Amino acid sequence: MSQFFQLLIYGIQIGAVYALVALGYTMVYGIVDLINFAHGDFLMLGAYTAFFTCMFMGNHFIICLLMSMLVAGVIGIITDRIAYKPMRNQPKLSALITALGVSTFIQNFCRALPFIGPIPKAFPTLIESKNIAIGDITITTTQILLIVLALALMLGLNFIVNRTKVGRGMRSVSMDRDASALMGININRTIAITFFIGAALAGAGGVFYGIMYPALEVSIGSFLGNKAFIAAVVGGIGSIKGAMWGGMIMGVIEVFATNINADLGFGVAYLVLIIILLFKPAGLFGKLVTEKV
Amino acid sequence: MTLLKAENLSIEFGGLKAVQNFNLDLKERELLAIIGPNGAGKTTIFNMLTGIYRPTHGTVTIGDTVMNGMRSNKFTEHGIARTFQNIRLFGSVSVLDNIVIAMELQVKYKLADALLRTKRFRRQEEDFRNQAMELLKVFHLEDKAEYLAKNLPYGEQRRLEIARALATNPKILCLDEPAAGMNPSEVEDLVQLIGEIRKRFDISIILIEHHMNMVMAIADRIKVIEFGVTIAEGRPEEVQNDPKVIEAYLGKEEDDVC
Amino acid sequence: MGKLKIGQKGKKSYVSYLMIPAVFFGVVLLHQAGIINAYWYQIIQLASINAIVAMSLNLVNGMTGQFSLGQAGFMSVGAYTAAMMTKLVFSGYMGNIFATYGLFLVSLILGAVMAAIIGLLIGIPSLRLKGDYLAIITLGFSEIIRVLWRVFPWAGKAKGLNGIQNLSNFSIIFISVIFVMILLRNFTNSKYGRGCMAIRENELAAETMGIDTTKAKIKSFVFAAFIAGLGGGLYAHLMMFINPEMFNQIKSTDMLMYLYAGGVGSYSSALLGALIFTFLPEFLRFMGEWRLVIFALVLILIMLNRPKGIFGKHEFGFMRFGQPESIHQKADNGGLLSGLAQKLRQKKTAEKA
Repeated sequence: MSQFFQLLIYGIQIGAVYALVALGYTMVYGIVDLINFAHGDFLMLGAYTAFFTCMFMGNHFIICLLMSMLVAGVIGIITDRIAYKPMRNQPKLSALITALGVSTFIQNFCRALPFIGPIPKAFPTLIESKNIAIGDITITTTQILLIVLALALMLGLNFIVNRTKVGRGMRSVSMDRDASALMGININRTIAITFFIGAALAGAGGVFYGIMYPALEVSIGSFLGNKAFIAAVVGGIGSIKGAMWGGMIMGVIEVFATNINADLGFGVAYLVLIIILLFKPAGLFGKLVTEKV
Repeated sequence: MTLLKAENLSIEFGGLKAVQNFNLDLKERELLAIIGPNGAGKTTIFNMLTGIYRPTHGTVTIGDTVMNGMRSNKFTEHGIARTFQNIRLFGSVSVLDNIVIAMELQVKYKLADALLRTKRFRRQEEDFRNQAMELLKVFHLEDKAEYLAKNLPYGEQRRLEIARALATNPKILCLDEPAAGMNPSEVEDLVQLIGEIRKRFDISIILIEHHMNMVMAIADRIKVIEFGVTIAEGRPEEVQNDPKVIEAYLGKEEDDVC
Repeated sequence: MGKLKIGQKGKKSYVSYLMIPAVFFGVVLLHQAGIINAYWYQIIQLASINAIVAMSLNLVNGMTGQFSLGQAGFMSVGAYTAAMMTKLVFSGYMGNIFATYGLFLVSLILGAVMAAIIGLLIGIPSLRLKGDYLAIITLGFSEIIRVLWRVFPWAGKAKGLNGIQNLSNFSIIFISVIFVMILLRNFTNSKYGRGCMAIRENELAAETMGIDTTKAKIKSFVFAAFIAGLGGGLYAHLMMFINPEMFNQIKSTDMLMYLYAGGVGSYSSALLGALIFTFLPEFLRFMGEWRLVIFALVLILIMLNRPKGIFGKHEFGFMRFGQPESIHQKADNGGLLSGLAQKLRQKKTAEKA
C-alpha cells in the first residue's frame, strides 16, 4: 500500500510536468489549429536556459525558473512570427511540415552549438531536497514544491484565460478568427501571447524535468514533448482542462506501468492514446466538431 | 408501385424537433417541390431522404427496400441522387472526372483488372468517358471537360453538380436550392434545363427552392413546411391560395395583401 | 465529331518511358566507371527505398486526403517479416542464384502481405477518425508496433536482427521502384483512385455518389501499407541488420517530409523529394553537426515559399500514360520549380517590352 502511494505521488509529479507542456500544445492547437511539433523543443530550451543561468548567475531556483520561462516564451513568439505566421492561410498540412522542420532545426542547431553540443550535461541541483516521512511513505520537499508550483502555474493560466481581457481575446480567436478580427481583437497579438504563454509553461516544465532527471540532452524536448502531446490528445486537444487532466492521468499510468515492466511503460502511453481515440475520438474533454450539410 | 416513400419521418437534434412526422409518397416522373421559410427543415428532410442523417423516428422506403440504418451510398445504389445547397463538387478534379467518379456504381471491373489494365478495364473506362461526355453535352459543359471543377463559374458549377447527380443513374433526383444565388436569366435557363432533364431522363424530381415563380411554373405538387411540420400540400394553385401558407410566408395581419 | 476522344487533345509522347532505362544504365555505368563510389551507390539505393515508402504515403495523404503518419510501422513489419523469412526459414534452400532470388522475392512479398494485413487491422478502427486525430492514432499504432518488436523474443528484442543477407542490390531496388510506380499509377487511374480523390475533395459528396467511403479509404490504406512493407523488406536486406529504433517516429516523419517537400499529390514529386532529401544531408556531410541545421532550414524555406512543394503536383509522363497535362491541370499543379520558371518568363517578357 505504501508503495502504491509512493508511486502515485511520483506519477502526479511527472504528470504535472506533462500537463504543463500539454497546455502549450492544446492552447496553440486551439487558437491556430496547428500541432506545434516544436513545442517540446521549447521545453528543452527552457531547461538549457536554467542550466546556463545557474552557471552564470548562481544557484537561484526562482531566477532560473523565470529566465527559462522568459527565454522559452520569447523563442515561442519568434518561432510563430517567422515560421508559422506566413502559413496561416495555407493548407494545414503544409504548416505541420513547417513545424516538423522547425523542431528539427531547433534540435540540431542546439546540438551544433559548441557550448551545448551532443553530450549530455548534468543539470544543477537547484533546490535542496529533504525527505518527509508520513507513515510508510516518504515524500521529498522537491516533489511537493514542484507539484504545488505546477498547480499554481495552471491556476494562473486558468485565471488568465477565463478572467482577463487577453484571455477573452484568446477564447474568441480560437472560436472564430475572422469574426474576432471584426470585433477589433488584434489577432496576431493574441496568437503571439498564446505562443508566449504556451512556450513559457513548457520552459517551466523543462526546469522541473531537469530537477527530476538531471541529465540534460538536446533530445529531451522531442522525447517529453511527445508524451505531453499524447496527454493533450487524451484530454481532448484544444481543451485546457483536458490538458491538465490528460497530463496527470498519463503521468500516473506511466509510472505504474513502468513499475510492472519497462517496455510496457514505454508503450502504455500509446496504448492509452489509441483506446481513448477509438472510444472517445475527441478525447476526454474535447468537443467533436461536426460538419454541417 | 411507389418510388419513394417516407413515413412519419422525425428527427431531433438535442431536444430540438427539426422535422416532425414528414410523409412523402413520390410518384413516377413527378416533380415535387418542398417550400418553406428559412430554417423550416427542408434540407434536413433531404438529408434524411438521402441517408446523411438518420431519422429519430419513421422510415424511408425506396422501391421495396426499407432504407433504415443504411449509409448514403446505399441510398444512391437504390436510385436516389442529390445536389447540395452549398455546392460540393470535387474541386481539384477535372469536370469530366467529376462525372466519371459518379459512375462508380456502374463499374464492373475488379481491382486486378485495374492493376493489370486488362481489356475489360480499358473498354469500360472508354465507355464511361464517352457517356460522361454525352452527359456534359446535355448540360452545355462539353467544352469545359478539362477544366478543374473549382475554376468553373458559379452557374456552371451548379449545372455540373446536377449532371454529376444524374451520372449515378438515379430514378429520383433531389435538388437542394439549385437556383440559389442565380440572377433571373440564369433561373430561366435552369427552368429550361430541368424541363430538358425531365424529357430526356425517366426520372422523378424533388426540389427545394425559394424562387416562388420557378416553383409555381414547374412543380406538379408542392409541400409547404414550417418549423418542421407540413402545413399544406397540393397542386401549385391550391397551395398558392392556402391561408396557412400565406400566413407562414407573409404574416397573419396582412391577409388582404395577397 | 465521330468518335469522342477525351483528354487526348494533345499528342501522346512516350519520351518519358525512355527515361527509365536511361536512368538505370546511367547509374550502373557511372558506378562501373568509379564515378559513383560504393558509399554513394549505397545512398542511392537507400534513397530509392525511401522513395517507395514516400510514394506509398502519397496514396493515403496525397490522393485520399487522409493524414496518415505511421508509415515506418508498416515498413518495419515488412522488414522483420522478410528478414525472418530469408534468415530463419529459407536460408537452407538458397543454393543457386535462382533459388536465392526467387526465395528473396517470396520473402519480400510475404513481408508486404504481412504489412497489408496489419494495415487492415489498424485501418478498420483508425480510419473512422479524420485529420489530426487520424495522424495521431496512426502514429500511435506505429509506435505500438515498435514496442512489440522490442518485446518479441524471436525478433531479437531491442537488439533487433543481425546478419541478414545482402540481397537488395541496385537492380532489384530499381525494378521495385518502377513496379511500385506502375501499381500506384494503375490504381490511381481507375475507379479505386478516383474514389480516393473524391473522398479527398469532398467526402460527403463522394458518399452520395455511391462510393463506400469507408471501404475505399481502407483499400488505399492497406495498399499503401503493402507497398511500405515491400520497401521495408528491401531496406532490411540492404542494411543487413534491423532494430526497432530504425523504425521510430523520426522515420515516419522523415517520410512525411520527403512527400511534402517534394510535392504532395504526386508520386513523381514524392519520389524526387525522397531522393533529394536523402542526398542532401549526405552532400552536407562536410559541414559536420551543422548539416541537419541546413537541412531543416531548406525544408522550412521551401514550405514557406511554396506550400505545394518543390515539384508541385506534376507527374512524370509515364505516370500519365504519355498523355499531356491539360493546361488547367498544369496551372493547378505548380510547385517551386514551375513558380521559378514562370517568374523567369515574366522577367523576359518584361525586358522585351
